[in-house]
Amino acid sequence: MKYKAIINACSPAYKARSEEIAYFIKANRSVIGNAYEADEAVVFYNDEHTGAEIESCLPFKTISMVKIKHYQPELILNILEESECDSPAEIYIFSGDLAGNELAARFAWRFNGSSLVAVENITKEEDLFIGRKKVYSGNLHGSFLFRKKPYCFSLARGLKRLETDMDAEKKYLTFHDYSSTAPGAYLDNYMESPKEEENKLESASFVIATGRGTGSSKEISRLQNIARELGAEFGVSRPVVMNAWAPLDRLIGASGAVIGPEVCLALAVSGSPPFYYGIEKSKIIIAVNRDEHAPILKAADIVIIDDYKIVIDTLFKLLRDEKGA
Amino acid sequence: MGDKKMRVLISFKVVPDLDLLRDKDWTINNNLPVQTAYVKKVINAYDESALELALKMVERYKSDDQKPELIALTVGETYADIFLKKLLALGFNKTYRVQNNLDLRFNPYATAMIISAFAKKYGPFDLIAMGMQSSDGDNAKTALLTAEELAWPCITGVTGFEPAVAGLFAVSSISDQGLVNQTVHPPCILAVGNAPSSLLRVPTLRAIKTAAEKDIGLLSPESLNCKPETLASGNDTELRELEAVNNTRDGIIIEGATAEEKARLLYENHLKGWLNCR
Repeated sequence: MKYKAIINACSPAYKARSEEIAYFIKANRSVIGNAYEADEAVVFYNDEHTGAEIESCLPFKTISMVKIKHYQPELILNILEESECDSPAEIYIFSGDLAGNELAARFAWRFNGSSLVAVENITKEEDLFIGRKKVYSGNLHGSFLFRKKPYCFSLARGLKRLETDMDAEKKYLTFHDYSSTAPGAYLDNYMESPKEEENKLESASFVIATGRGTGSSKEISRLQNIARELGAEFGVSRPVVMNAWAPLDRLIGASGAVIGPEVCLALAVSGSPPFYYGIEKSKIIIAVNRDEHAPILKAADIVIIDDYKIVIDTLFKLLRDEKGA
Repeated sequence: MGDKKMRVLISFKVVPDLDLLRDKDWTINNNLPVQTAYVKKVINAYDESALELALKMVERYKSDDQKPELIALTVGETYADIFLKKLLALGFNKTYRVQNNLDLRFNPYATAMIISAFAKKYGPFDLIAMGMQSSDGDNAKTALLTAEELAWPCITGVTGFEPAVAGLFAVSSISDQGLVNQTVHPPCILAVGNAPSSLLRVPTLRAIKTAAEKDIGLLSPESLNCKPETLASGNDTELRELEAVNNTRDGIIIEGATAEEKARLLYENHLKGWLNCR
């Protein structure tokens, strides 16, 4: 099947998202087919990164580079509508991020195709193309039949990555410049406060994660300080962010960071599926919770059923003593 | 502030509170959608944020004459009425419920078609806001398809919106690139994401009493020219199977007389070497 990957390289995490798509394609060759000549990506980028920098680290053989002023879905959809109308692919794979989700659904609509958001894998049963994703806030997996081509889907966040082979054979590139094209009459003013880099939570080897059970913003601040002292990144569940006890960039979960550290120390978190989605790639999960029925306890490698405050304070003291010794 | 009175539609969904379900409740029979009819209902979290942000936006207008008209819409069963009454008590001017007999959990197309049809019949609206995803279907498509059907622009990951000069709106959002602040001409669709401090406020008892006497507009899909068979068949995907997610890990329990002892055992046996080698 002819497929294309659509990548938002205005995002600082574009390399990771591209490598996730590359791994997904490799893992699903039996469904997609071995048409390497169709190994094609359409990459939207702006002045944040140079075209040469981007194409050198993307694992695709044919890359169509499209320069835009800034990420703007209305403009990107119009460009894709124009560029893909003559010979649309059968499959469009969008990255596992906010851009991928919105573009997949809207692009499918414009091409009278079908779309799914946050797909984990695909299968083919005779002529039926099926995507699998989490539903019911991560409590279940659902398998969905795509009813119409083109099949458009974004990937689930935090899938495995295929590192770029820098010695891969020559890439075929085309360039288009839409950086002076306005996204639409609706937009009067646009201002971006860009992230400087990929979220540190996603690349940390040690993360301390906590939830509403901590009870206050003061306690969250205290834990954040302890995490810093222990050399850990600090993350929180959605209710903590909703209560404004911690900023949004600390959010772990289905709508926040998806982490994969060596060790995740989960303090006073119940382990609801949307939160667990964010920590399930951790190599070792250590859960501390007083509630012996908390779902996190079954989904952890090591468990302490007790007061997390005493546990973290003791751990902190032990480590400090060790360092001081 | 704008010169004309704006009209803002907030669409929301009432969902089962999935946090109340335990493992054994997730029984899947013959691949049918999970039975959640008995579970306590709540407003979907992202929709709740959209409703609260709308109330906050109205507070930004100093003159009552200029305050936008707030309309709330839901597609669902009678159990949604209690939430519609609450919204009336909180200051929404009108509320509507589209009585629906279809299972919409995995059919964002139908929901988007109904919202669009409502907007065409009861509009014009300057903004339509809703949550970016619901907790049961996890489709994350309704706002996007509504935007496509109405041919309106759509901003996702919205964390706030407020009036700007000359009838425009200032919209803040989180994107993959970072924080975004845009000033937009209406009409526009807003898909609300993780908006801090956006838990829906609680109405006063007096407001609840007053709201109890107000009517909820009850509509049918047919009254909006939406044929139930088209709503069912128009969805671009079809749920074929549901399966449990298995997250189970070893769950080695560290035993000890006190929390301090357990922490010491955790440190000595599992963390010390690793922390010191990093």
